[in-house]
Amino acid sequence: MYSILQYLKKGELALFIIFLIVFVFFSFSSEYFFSLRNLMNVSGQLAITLIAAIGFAVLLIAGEVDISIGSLLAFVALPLIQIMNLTESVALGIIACLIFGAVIGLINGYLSVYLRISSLIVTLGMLFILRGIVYLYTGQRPISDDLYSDFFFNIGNGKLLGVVPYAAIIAFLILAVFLFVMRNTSYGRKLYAIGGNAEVARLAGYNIKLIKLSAFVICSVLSSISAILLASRIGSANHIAGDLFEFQVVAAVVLGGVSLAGGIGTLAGAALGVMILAIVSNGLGMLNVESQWQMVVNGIIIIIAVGFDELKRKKS
Amino acid sequence: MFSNSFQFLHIKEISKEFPGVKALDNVSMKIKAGKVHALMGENGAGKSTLIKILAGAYSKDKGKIFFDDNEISINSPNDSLKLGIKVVYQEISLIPEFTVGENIFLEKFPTNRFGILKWKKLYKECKDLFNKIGFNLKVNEKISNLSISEQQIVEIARAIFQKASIVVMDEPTSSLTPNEIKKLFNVINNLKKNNIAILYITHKIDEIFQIADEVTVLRDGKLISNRPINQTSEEILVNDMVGRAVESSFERTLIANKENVLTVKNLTTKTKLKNVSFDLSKGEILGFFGLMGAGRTELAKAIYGYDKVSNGFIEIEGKRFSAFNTSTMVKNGIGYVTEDRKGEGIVKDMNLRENMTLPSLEFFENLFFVNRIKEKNISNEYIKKFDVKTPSCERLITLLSGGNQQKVLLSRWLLRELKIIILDEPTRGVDIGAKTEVLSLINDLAKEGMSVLLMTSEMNDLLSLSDRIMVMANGEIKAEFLSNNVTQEEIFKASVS
Amino acid sequence: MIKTIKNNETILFFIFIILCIFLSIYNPQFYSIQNINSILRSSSTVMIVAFGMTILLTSGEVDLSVGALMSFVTVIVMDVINITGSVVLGFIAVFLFCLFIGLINGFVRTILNVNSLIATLAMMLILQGSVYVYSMAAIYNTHLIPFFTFIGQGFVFKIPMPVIIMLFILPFFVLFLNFTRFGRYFTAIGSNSDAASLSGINNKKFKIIGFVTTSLLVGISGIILASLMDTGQQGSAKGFELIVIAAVLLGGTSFKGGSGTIVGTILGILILKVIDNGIILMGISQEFQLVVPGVILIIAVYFDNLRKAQDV
Repeated sequence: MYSILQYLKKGELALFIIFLIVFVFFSFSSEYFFSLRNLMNVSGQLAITLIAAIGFAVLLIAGEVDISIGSLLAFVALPLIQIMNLTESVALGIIACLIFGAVIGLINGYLSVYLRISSLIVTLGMLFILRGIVYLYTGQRPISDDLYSDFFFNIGNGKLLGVVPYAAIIAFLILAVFLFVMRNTSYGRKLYAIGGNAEVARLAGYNIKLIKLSAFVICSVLSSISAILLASRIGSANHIAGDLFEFQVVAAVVLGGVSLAGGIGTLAGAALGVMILAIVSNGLGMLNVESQWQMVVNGIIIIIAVGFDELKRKKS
Repeated sequence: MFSNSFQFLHIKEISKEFPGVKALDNVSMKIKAGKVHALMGENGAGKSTLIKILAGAYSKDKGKIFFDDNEISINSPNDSLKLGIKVVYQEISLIPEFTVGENIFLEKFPTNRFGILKWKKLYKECKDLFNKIGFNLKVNEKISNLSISEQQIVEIARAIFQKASIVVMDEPTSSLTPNEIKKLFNVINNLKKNNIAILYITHKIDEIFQIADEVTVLRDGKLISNRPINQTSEEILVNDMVGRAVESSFERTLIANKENVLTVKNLTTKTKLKNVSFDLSKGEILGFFGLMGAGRTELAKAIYGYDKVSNGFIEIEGKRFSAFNTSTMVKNGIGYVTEDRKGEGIVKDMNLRENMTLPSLEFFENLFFVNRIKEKNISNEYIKKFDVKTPSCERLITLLSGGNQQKVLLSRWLLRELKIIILDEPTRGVDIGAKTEVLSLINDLAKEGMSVLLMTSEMNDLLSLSDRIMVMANGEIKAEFLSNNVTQEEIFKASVS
Repeated sequence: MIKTIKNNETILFFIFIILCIFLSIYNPQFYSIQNINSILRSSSTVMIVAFGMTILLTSGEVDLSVGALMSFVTVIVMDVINITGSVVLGFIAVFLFCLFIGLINGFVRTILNVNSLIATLAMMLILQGSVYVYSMAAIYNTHLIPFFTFIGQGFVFKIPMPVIIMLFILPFFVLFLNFTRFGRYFTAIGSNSDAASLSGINNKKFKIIGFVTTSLLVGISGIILASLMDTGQQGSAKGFELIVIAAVLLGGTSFKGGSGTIVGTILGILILKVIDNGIILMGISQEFQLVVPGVILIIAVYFDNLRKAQDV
C-alpha cells in the first residue's frame, strides 16, 4: 500500500502533467495525432529508447554512466544477425546477442569498479572501440537478415491483435519489472543507497563493487534488447545504428528527473521523459513541422526542464 | 553489542597530538550505562578530537579505552560501530532520498526468499522502535523532508536498532526549537531506561542541568573537572571552561574619533543573518565571538560578497554596496581568510607559491605573463617570515600540514594592500609558537591602518587583540563590549542567550 | 600537480617519438613531406578546438556542442560568401554566430545553473536541428574565391595553411594556462571554485569566457573545414566533440577540472593522428582508426590514475 503511494511522488506528478499537457495540445492541434494507429506507432517507436533508458537510469541511479550504449546497439546486432543467418534459429541469435551485451557490461563494470577508471572514460573509450569493431566487421555495409523469420519480424514490427505493437508490450513489461525491482527489492534499494551516499552504504556493509558491476550488466543487456528491436525494424545489422543514441537517452533520462549525481530519480520519471520527447517529436511531425525543428525543440525542452529543476532546488 | 550487560566505558589517559598542537592531554573519564554524561568546553578544547577517536576516525597516541573490564582498540569506524559506539553528528549519515524506515533497516532490509521487501513488516517494526524511544514520526516519510531535529532522532533510533551501547551526541540542540529539545530529552530519558549510555557534548549550561548526570569539562586539551551534576553549579562550570589567565594583551592604541572605514547596516540573508549593523573604524580590530551556528561565518561571507544579501547594505569609506560579489570587494580593498581551510581555502592542484599569490596575481604581471621569479622571491619571504615548514615554495600545498597551510592562506592577503581584512578563525590549527606571530602580525597590520574583523572562538585571541567585541547568536548581534571592560564569563553568557 | 603533468607530458612525448620512429622504419613513406603534411593538416582542425576544450575542462566545464557548431559554421560561411561575394563578411558572420552560441552556453551554465554536460548536449541537439532549418541542402562553393580555398587547401613554404593558422594560435594557448594570470584563474576555478571565488576571482565571468573562446575557436576550425571540403555540409563534423574530448583527456587534462595541459593535448592529438596514419600505412583496415583511440584512452587514464595514486 505504501509502495503505490510512493509511485506518485511529487516530481513524477509534474512530469505526468507535462505529458498530459503536451498530449492534449497535439490532440487538438493535429487531426492525425490522436488516432489509435498513430499512438500505437509512437509507442512502438519509443520502445527502443525506453528499454535502453531503463538500463541507463538503473546504472545512473547507482552512480555510474555508460555512454557507449549507442555503439553497443550496433555491436550486438552483429552476433544477432550473423548467428540467426548461420543457424537459422532466431532464439540462438537472440541468446548470442544478449550474451555479447552482458560481456561488454562486465568489461565496462570491471574497468570502472575494480580498476577504478572513471566510468565516463571507460565507456567513452568503449564507444569508440565498439563502433570501430562494427565498422571493421561489416566493412561499413549493413548485414541483412537473410532468414526472414516471421517471428523475428514481429518482434519489432508486429502488433498484438493487429493493434498493439509487440515492441511496446515488451518495453512496458520490462518497465514494470524494473519499476518493481527498484522499488520493492533489497537489490533495488541498495542501488539507490550506493548512488545516494556511498560512504553510508559502505558502512552498512554492502558489496558495492559487485552491485555496481551488476548494474553495468543490466544496462548493457537492456541496450541489447533495444538492439534486437531495432534490428528487427530495419531488417539488418547496420553499422550506423545507434549513432548519437546515447545522447538521446541521457536527455530523456535527465528530463525524467534522474540525477547525474546518482541516488535520485525513478524509472517512472525516466519513462515519462522518454514518452514526452517521443510525443513531442511525433506531434510536431503530425503538424508537418520538419524533423529538424523537432531536434531544436528537444534541446530547448531539456534546458528549460533542467533549468526549472535547478531553480526549484535552489529555493528549497 | 553488549547492550544489556554493559556497565561503563572507561577512557583512560588519552593523549593526541597533531603537528604543533596538543589536542588532548591525558584525558580520562568514565561513561556509565543508563546515564547521561555531559562533555563541555569551548571550541578547540578537545571535544571533537575525543569523539573522533571514539568513532574510529582518529587514532589515539597514548592511553587506553576499556569497555567494562575489557581493553578495546578502535582502529576504524567499523570497529567503533561493532563495539556499539554510535556518534550522532550535525551532518547526518543517512540516505536523504530514503524513508525513515528504509534508513533504519539499511543494513538488512526485511525481505522474503526472493529479496522482495516486506514493507508492512519494515514499517511496523519501525513504528514499534519509535514508540520505544518515545517519539512520534511518520515512518514512511523521506529523510530529506524531515526537519533537522527529526533527522537526529532517526539517527538515534538507528543506533538503538543497531544495538548501540553508547550514543554520542555532538551539539544536538544547536538547531532545535525549545519544543524539539523537549522531545529530544524525552527520547534520551527513554534511552537511559534501556541501559544505554549517552555522551552529550554541548555548550549550553542550562541543558546540562536538565538532562545530565555527570559533567566533564575540557580546556585546551586538558581535563579540568569531572563531577556529578549535583556537585557543581553554573559558576563553577563557566569558570572551568574559560577560567584561565589571559595572556598579556597587545598594546592597542585608543581609537578615538578615527574615521569610519566600514558601515554595515541591517544586513540580512535568507539563511541566517537578521539585521546585523555595526561600524568599523580605521585601524580598529573588531572581534566577533559566538558559538557554532551563531552566524559569524555567514556574516563574514555576506560582507565579503560571497553569499547573497537579501536586505541591507554595506559602505566602504562612504561608497555604498547593496549587491556585490567577491571580485568587487577585493578590488575595493577587502580580504578574507576562511575557516574552512580544506574546502574553501587551499587550491589542492596548485603549489604553495601559486596558492599564496592567487588573489594578488595582477601585481606579479609583466605585460601578459606572470613573473615567476618575483613570485618565488615574495613567497620565500613569507615562508621565512611565518616559519612555514616546507622544503621550497614549489611544494604541493596538500603536502603541507594544516597549520602551515593556514599560514600560507594568511600570507595570501598580505601581498595586497587591504583596507579591511576579515579573519575567520585565523589561528585554528596553528601551533602555539606561530599563534603569537600571527596575532602580533594582526596587531601590526592594525597599527599601520588596516581594519580587522576577527571572527574567533579563542577567548585569548579575542581579548588580547580586539578593541571592541561583538557577541553573536542566532544570526544577530546580541551584545557589544569594550575589550578592556569585560570578563570572559560575560562574553560567554552573552553568546548562549 | 606540475610535476605529475611534466611526467605525463614526457611519457607522451616519448610514445610519440617511438611511434614515429617505428613507422618510419616500417614504411619510409611516413616521413615524406606529403605524409607529414597530411598528418599535420588533419591535426590542425582538431587542435584548434581542443585548445578551447582544454581550457574549459580545466575550469571544470565541458562543451559537447562543438561538433554541431562546426558543421553549422561550414554552412554559414559558405552561404554568406556565396551570397555576398565577400570573404570578410563570411568571417564576420561566423564570428558573430559563434560568439552568440558561446554566450548562450555560458549563460545557461552560470545564470540558469544547468550542468554544462546537459546544457551543451541540449545545445548540440538544437544546433543539429537548426542547421537544417537554415538550409536543407548542402551548400556548394559557388563563389570560387581563391583566398577562401587557400585557407584549407593552400600552402605557405610547403606547409599547409591550416597548420600555419594552428601555429599562430598555438603559442598563445601553450603559454596561457601555465604562464598567465587568467590561466591560473581557470585552474583555480576548476580545482576549487569556492576557494577561487573567495580569492576574489569572478567565476561566472571566466566560465563564460571559456565557453566563448571555445566557440570562437570552433568558428576558425569550421572555416578551415569548409575550405577543405569546398562545401558547407550539415553533418560534416558529427562526432567531432568526442574525438576532441578523448584527445584532451588522453593528453592528461583531468575531466574533474583543476589540472590542464595544452602541451599534453597537442601530444595527445599528434599521437592519435600518427596512429591513424600508421594504420593506413600499415595496410590495416581503416576502421581500426576508431578502435585504437578508445583502447589507448582507457589504458592511458588507467596508468595515469596509478601514477597519481603513487605520487600522493
